[in-house]
Amino acid sequence: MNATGEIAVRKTQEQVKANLQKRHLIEKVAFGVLWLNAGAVILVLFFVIFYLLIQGGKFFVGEENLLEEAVLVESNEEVRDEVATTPYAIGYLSFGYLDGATKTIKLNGVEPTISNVESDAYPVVRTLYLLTPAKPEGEVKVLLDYIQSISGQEIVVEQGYVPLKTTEVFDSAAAVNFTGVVTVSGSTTVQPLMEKFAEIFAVEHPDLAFIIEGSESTAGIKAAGQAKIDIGMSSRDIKDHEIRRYEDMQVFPIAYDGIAIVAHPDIPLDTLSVNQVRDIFTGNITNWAEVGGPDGDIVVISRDTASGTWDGFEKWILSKNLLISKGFETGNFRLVFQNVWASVKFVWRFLVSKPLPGMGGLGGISTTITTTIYLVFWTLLIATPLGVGAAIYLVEYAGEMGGQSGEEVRAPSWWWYVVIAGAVLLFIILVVGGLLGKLGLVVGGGIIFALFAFLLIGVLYGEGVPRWWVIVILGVVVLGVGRFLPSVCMVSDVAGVVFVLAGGLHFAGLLHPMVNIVGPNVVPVVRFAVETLAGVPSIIFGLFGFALFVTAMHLQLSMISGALAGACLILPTIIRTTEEALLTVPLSYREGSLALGATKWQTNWQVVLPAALPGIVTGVILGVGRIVSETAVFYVTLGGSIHPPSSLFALGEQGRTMVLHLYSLMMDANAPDPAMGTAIVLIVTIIFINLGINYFSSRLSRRLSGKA
Amino acid sequence: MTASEIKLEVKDYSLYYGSFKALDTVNVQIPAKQVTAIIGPSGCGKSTFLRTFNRMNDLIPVVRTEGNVMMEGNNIFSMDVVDLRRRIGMVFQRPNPFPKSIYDNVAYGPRMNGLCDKARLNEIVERSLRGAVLWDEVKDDLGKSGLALSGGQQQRLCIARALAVEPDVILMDEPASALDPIATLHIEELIRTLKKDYTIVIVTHNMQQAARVSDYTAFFYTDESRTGILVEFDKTKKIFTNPEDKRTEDYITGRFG
Amino acid sequence: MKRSADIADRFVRFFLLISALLSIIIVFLIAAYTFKESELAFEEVGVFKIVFGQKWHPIPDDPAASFYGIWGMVYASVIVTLGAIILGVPFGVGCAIFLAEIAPESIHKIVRPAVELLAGIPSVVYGLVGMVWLVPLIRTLVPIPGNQGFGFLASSIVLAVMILPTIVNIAEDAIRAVPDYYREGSLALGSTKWQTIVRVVIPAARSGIVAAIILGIGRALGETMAMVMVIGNSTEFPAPLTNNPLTLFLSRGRTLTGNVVMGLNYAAGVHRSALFATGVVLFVMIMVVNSLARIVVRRWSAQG
Repeated sequence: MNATGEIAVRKTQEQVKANLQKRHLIEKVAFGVLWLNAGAVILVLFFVIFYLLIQGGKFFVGEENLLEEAVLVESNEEVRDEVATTPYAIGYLSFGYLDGATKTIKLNGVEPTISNVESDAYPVVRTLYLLTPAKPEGEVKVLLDYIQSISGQEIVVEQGYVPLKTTEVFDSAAAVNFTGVVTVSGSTTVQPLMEKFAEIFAVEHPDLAFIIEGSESTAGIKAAGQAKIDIGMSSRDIKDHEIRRYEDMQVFPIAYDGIAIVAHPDIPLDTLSVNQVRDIFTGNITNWAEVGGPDGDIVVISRDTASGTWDGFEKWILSKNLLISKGFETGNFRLVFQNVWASVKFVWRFLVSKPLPGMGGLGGISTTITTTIYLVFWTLLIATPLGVGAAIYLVEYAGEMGGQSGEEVRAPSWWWYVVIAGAVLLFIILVVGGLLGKLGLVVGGGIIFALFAFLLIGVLYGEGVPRWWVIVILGVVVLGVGRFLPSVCMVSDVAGVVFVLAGGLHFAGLLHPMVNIVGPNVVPVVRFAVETLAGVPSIIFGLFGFALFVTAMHLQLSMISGALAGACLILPTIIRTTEEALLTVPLSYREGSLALGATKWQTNWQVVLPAALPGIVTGVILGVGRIVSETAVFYVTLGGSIHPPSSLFALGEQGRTMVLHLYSLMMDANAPDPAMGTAIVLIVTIIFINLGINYFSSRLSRRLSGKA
Repeated sequence: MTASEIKLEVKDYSLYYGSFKALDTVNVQIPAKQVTAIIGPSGCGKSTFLRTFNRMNDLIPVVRTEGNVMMEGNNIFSMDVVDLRRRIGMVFQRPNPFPKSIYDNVAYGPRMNGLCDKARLNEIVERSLRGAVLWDEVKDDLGKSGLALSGGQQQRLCIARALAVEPDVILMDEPASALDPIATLHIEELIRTLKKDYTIVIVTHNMQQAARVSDYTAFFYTDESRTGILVEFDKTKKIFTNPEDKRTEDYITGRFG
Repeated sequence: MKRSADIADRFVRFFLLISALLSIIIVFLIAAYTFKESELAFEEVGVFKIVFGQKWHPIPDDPAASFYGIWGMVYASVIVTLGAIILGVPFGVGCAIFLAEIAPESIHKIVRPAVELLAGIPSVVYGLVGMVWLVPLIRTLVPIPGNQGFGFLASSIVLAVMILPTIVNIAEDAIRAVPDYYREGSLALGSTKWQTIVRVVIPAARSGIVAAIILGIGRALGETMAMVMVIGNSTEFPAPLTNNPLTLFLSRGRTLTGNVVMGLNYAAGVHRSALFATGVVLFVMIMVVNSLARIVVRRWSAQG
């Protein structure tokens, strides 16, 4: 190579090298983008799953509902009085109100005492707060300093509450002789404490008056936040929206308090487990005898929702999650196990109790589960034989495995073309004109139906089944049916007339040529129809089901309407997967059977179908998944009644599937928590359905590669 | 052979699939601008060995290697693999043209290297197709799909495609085994033409083909352990008329294989 | 002499044939009944006023004062579907490429079943997450007056997440179906893996990827319940909330599908017929999209 040639080669080599660097760089960038992309997608998808799991989990380990029959009172004092005087009563109150009037019930065998709370043996504890509208000054500041000091906490203990751990020493030198009035209101739990402190303060500051009013924590927080009082009292944590709303409000913890379970003094029980208390307050245990006490219906005393004590009770006893985390924290695994078990029982109850109407989504989902199962059953019963049958016909008889019927294809007489063309033309004219008049539509529809009937008869004729008079009789029968079932009479009248006409044509010997035109074309038309059906959006199936089954056939909103609409919905799926499954069965199976003298149907029933079974089952399970998930179609055909069908065979009754229930919980009852619970149940169902699909389709592919 | 006449050198090279040793301590020097044939009974690792040169075995995660393979003194495992594969082209057992037009198949390589000048591409396409002795048959319809050609034509298209990136070495993995006898003859003729400009290494199970087409032959052998070893490497004439090793002789004379 | 088995054979064949013809009959019935039920509305109100009318306000007792214009809902359905496609397709196809070509087996083993699971989750569950998490988030993130969180943005996001698994699964299958010898051929010529993906694998998987996207579009257009849950269901014609045209995505609307399902159980007369008319329009839209797509796919496959 000469010099210029060498230079040219070197130049190209440099070019190539630079280009190489560029390509590697592009690849790195592209892969980086793809990793990020995938990361984002995976993040989103896993977020959805985990969000649902967590929210659903929160529902299952969260608070259960207080029973409706509970008696609601407005203060700790009232609880004490009610429980003390009502036989068979049970209630809960703050430690500060534990006196001899009521019987104290130990929780899991642990007595509600200050030392047990401090040692974490007694789990139910909350913080007591004082709140001021703004940064405290003057007498209020001094009071708060005193309360939060060692001396103040000694008083706390005296009164029966659990002290803060503090090392603050109160500097009484700062105390000036205060005058005026200090208004205090809020939680009755904190009230006895405040009254005691007021008493002590009055000794040093006789000119200072305290007005202390007991209401409930929520009222106290609100009053302090709105600066209507000097000091608010609360026995629960301040909620986020309250902090946001009252920006200047200051919060001071002053003590801890436990919530004790108390009962009427005549109840001979010493202790109850947390689960038992929860079950009593939720109405799952109604008689003292169920927990080892005397025979008598339990009277449940509780507080209303503005109460801080109720808040604590709801969080600690009616919920399971705080107890579970406390159990882990303190190494008390018995507590953990108890409450995990209670959560499991809650899940079980959720699954087996009926949903209750009304706001809040109370109750469980048992009837929705049974409705879903009933619906799946009937839909499959209708769709599976028809779908599998259609697929068998398409593949085994008319299609790849069937071969043609051996008749020669003869060109039809020219006047057949005239008849068919004329009918189509007539139909178009009538339909277009029929948009302006119902008669046209009916006649036009009748003509179309006639064509289909001709096709049907034509092919049947090729199959050798009916004589001409059989067809005529069939037509007359169909016409008769229309007299007894007025809802179908429009369709049946047209069909009946058509059959009679067809019989006549058959008698005239004109149907035979039709077979040769129609026969080979049935399959493509059917396949096209199946593909079309598969692409139709589900709401159209809903409209169709509503128009035909619910309205025209007068089946109304009912399980049979739903099942019929659902069957139309999943028919394409079943046909397609069955076809695929049948095609994987080797030809040799069929040939072997036929060679032994079996008929085609015997071959199909005993050899081909069993071999294709895994694929068919896959299709059926896919259909089940579709029915379980489908909402719109069943909303307009099954209805949404919370009352379920009374039995599997109650085809005329409405019902509600799980997805419909979820929809209703969100849109009608505004109950996101049980909705999340229902979503979890649905997800678990889908997981099992997917597992089923994977199992059966892998069996099918193993058959393809390994065993067959 | 002198250093400048050696294109590829393999030193103490072993290859493992996981824990299974597929090739054991291979030592060989492939001469430049000659046709080297690799023969041996089936399952002795010929294809695996061939794919070493353009590092196609890297695509299999469980593969592990020992030893050195060098091209013109440079360790191929330290080179940029993309560049290596441009310089060492490959023709596969089954023709695998892309589902694109004939033109796009051949122009694929150059385009990928950044060449977009239409005129240059046309030139390269024609040159490569001529080099693969396919030009006259397809020149009138370069837009036709590569998949529409006959088996033999497809294989020549793949060769043209490989030529288009101007490699130094062309590896051929049983290139004619999927073709009919006439097409096979065309391929063999083509190989003889190509060796003027390219170093060619060809794996074949057809001994007569190896004898017809190659200048040097490497004989690989395996026993029940299924580990392949290089038994003998020499000028083709010597291997086929007077081999040194008895195993070579047994294979040549058809006592096994 | 006919064996009883032969006679049984004949009858069975007859019934199987009926089953096969059933699909044709159902398609026919669906078309017939949908058109038939919508006839009243098209007659009384007129096709133009229904399809292009911008006001939807049915008053059961006063037909003269009622409006049945669904153009606002066509608009809403299109916006939401477009939004879902714009968000979902790039991420979905990119993820499919990643899973098929780049992901290590360990990642793929976890991600693929997760994606399959998500593909099977009912749409109301997505609507639930949208209502409980997404809508409040949008409401707080964009504190414009009139923005309640419900609307097109929330719906597009929910739809995009719903069609992602479908697109990823089908596109990934299509890419994996491309035979390995194409990849080998390209790599052996000295191309980088990325070039191989872009120039050989993706073009070869083209029709499968497009099929995945079409399926996604179909699912988006046809989605009903999740849309009802997050789109707000306002019958006002959609318009931006402020001067900024982007706030169109924060306004509420109602999809064609939502319109149908919300009224069907109680509507009567012309109102009910108008709901069927909505169904007809929806059906036509989907048919058009599917046919267009099928043409595109066929042209592309022919080229390859």
